Amino acid sequence: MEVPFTSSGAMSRAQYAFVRKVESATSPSEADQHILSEIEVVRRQLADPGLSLNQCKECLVILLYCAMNVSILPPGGMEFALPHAVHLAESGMTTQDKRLGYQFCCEMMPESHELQLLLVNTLRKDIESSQVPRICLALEALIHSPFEDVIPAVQSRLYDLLSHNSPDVRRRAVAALSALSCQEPSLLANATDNLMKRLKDSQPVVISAALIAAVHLREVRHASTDRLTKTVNALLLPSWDPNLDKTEYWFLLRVLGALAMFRPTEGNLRLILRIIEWTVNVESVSHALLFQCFQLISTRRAEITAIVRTSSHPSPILHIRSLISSTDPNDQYLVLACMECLDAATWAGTTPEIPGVLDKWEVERIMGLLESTDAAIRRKTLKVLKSADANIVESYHTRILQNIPEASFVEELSEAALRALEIIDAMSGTDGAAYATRLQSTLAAFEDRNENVVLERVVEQVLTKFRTSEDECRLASLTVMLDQLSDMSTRIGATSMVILTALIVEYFTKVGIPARKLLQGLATRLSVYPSSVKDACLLAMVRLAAESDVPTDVLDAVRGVSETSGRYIRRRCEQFVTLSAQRETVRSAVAQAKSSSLPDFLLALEASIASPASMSSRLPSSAFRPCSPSASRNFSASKLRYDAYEAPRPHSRLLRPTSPRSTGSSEYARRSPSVLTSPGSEGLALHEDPLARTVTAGDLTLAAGDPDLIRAAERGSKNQGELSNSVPDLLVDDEVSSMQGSDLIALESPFVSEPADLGSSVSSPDFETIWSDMERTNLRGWCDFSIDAVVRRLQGLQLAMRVIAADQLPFEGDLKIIISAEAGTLDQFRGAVLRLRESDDESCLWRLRCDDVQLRMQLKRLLSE
Amino acid sequence: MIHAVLIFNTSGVPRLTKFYSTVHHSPQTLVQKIFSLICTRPAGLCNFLDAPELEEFLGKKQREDERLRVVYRSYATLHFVFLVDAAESELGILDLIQVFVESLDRAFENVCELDLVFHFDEVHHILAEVIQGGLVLETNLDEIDRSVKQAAQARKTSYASANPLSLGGSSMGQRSAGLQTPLGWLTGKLTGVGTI
Repeated sequence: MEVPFTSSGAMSRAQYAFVRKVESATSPSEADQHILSEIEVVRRQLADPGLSLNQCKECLVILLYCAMNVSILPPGGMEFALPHAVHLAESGMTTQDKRLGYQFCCEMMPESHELQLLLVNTLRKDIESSQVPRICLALEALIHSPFEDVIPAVQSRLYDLLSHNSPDVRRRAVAALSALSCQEPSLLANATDNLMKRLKDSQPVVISAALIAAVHLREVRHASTDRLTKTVNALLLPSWDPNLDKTEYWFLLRVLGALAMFRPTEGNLRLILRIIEWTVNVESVSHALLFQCFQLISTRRAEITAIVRTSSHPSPILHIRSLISSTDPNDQYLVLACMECLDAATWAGTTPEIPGVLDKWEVERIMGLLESTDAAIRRKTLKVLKSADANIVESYHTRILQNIPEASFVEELSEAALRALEIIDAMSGTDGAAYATRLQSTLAAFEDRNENVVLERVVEQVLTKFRTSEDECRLASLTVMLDQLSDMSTRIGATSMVILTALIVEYFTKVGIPARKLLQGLATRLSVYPSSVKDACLLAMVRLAAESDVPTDVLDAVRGVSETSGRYIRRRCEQFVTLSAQRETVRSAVAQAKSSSLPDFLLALEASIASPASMSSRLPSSAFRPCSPSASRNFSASKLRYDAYEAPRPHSRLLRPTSPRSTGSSEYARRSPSVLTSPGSEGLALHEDPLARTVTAGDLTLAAGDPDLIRAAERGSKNQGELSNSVPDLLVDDEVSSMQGSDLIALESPFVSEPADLGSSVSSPDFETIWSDMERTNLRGWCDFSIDAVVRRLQGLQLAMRVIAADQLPFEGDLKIIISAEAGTLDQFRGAVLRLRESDDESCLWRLRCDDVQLRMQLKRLLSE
Repeated sequence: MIHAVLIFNTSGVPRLTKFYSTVHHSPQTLVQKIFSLICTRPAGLCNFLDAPELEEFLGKKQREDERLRVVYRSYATLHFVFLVDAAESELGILDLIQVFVESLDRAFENVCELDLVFHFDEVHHILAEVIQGGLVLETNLDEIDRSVKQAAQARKTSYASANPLSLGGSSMGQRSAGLQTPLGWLTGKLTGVGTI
């Protein structure tokens, strides 16, 4: 950014310097770092009691910029600035000041926030002001963030403002009433007479706002709907003039938009047909107007067909024929969207009374759009052709199935399958059962080419379709889809099976198919799939095990698969067998999962197995794990109460002088109590957006292959074998007390967050504790280089780190690394834990947990490069 | 209804984010998701796309007319993106984007990305003249321009009355006066748009 301060238009040098720093950042993580530090600076500035309004304004502008540009907001978001924004809105000397105060509140204040009450009086005062700008500001704030508590304070004034001299106030008053009527419906209903007047206002801008309010009243079926219908219909004729130019047609657009919600009279329908004709012939007029006309007549299809049938007016499609030959994709979209608005009878020649209006070449051109590279155009074409003749679409579907690419061309195979999915989507409409039946046959056709290939984009597409379907449609689809598992003779390919496993985990509770049947269906087929699909199947079976006893034949089948599979699947099978006897563990995972999707279920299951609370109550064996973090945490509570001031044992101090886990977690607790006390709190939610992880087929298989579960299952089975051994109790107590002592000293020490200490002092049990503590910031992926190369790269970061060998506990088999970020003040402690597992091909699987945003992004980049 | 108005540059850096509906998850994630939808679209496609996957951010839409669509237009280095439901005409929104851009152009006198960087609060105000509460308030360019200028004048007056000795407050025109248009904004606008 080479613009000097004087030309930049920045509000202040501070803003200029900060924005320049962020804009010049070489990476998103660096920009985030600047922003987060600036938020801290502003936070301190705002805490200064001598802060002037001007300084406050500058701070708020900077915070708005920060909120827009930062990847992840700090815990608590911008809440700390809200009181200042409310104050600025109240005490601002100029309109600009007040505007910024209101804007900050509108952008940053959550719904139903307690500070909204403080705004009530400010809004009331501004709305009762004699200055138009202040009134407009308050009205805009009401429109953007309407809330119930403000209604009694502004209601009567709002009614008065409907007749204000300024059209800017009148239109905003109408819009504010509409917005507030969502909270209190009678508010707008009581202003019906005044609204009628505004529909006949001298200013089009006011009428536009009144039309929106009229639509609101129409939606709630207010008694005045008939009067409104008449008034809105009366607006059409005066709003159109054949001499309108492009700067004047906007009002007509608004009237047409509103009329689509009311019932246009027959006279107006004919007028609209004339407007369509005019629109096409006048070059300067927007296509939006043409489309709006078609959308309007789509609400009266039968009447339009009747008008065309009586030959009193040609088919409206006749007027847009010229656009069919256009190569502009927006024009193509427009033509198709317009055709979709009419009954095919008016243009396709499907009835003897109305001849077809398109020439052969025009029909061919539309057919050609089925091959468009634009999915939106293809979908529209399918709908249009289906409305004209469903057989055309059927035969197109058949053609695709007859020309399925060879299995070796996976990308082409996937693309063709996606096209086929578009077709069955259009063919089935809202008929869920028909969709599922067609989906099965389509997938079967593609799986005939190679039934072991998982077409990931197809899986994503189908799952998205299920998620966005209406409930009734989805239930019908699910029943048909899952029912095929019960029929043991049906062959199910890999792609279909991955879809089925995801559907089972996500929607099992919504369908009435018994879990036993599904378990048997999965278990019987388990042996034929590749490992990644077996993985997903076993996970779905774990989910089903929570709902039903697992039949013996299922267990036998899984054991059989276990014997013939590699180590990885063998572990997964063992996990299933173990968890099938621990239904509570699985149920707890289901209850705690962020969503019902398969990856979230897996994460919750993993957490549930690792969680001390859940495990200690269900698995007595957990107490026998010598270095178990769950055990240490359980005991540490009592130790803290009774031995809080016990001197630390020298032995422990030397061996593990500081527990990074305890210092880290205590710091986090101090900074944001909600993080530890309330995992579901908003501050945390900002960090932990489940949608940041898109559920892809890759995720499904990767998630299904998480070695944590294998380890947990192994540990579980090992513990079961150790039930008779009760010796380690004392050992655990001893370990914990020594750790506790260290923790207490560490908390007091000003040096505890020094990375050098951390790096030199971490012992293996602490790695597991940190790992568990940071379970919500989980990242993983594959490195294309070896573990040695990763370690060398990490060393290049110049951060303190400690490496725990792969053959040491915990997580045996994984190389474990604890990384500390640069030392800062005590409340800026940052760190990360990394696990690396080598594969045969000189690459490695990495899993990273890190609560610090910058460090996390830095490490992720390093590992992904 | 319009659920969101977003402006981001070709690197995905947001220049304006305005949400008219409650976002159930991180807005930043939503912005990135929309950017990934837009930036992967090759040239030669239309400016509309169905985006059912975004429903998880704004709540599941049950009715057909509530299904989400993305309407976007690209100018030089910036993408202007509107997230709307089916109650809005996508062609109308496409024209609205053009109106919004021309309003910015008039207000900032040859607007460029830099204006959006330093004056995103002003951009919010101009947007508020076009859209209020997710509904289109005004679509007439002249009317929007008049309101924006009137508001700027009102602020100037208000500033002068609050600071009697000042020589006048800043206005948008002055702020952008003399500033180059490093992104070739006008060139992009003239060559990169559809009809209006």
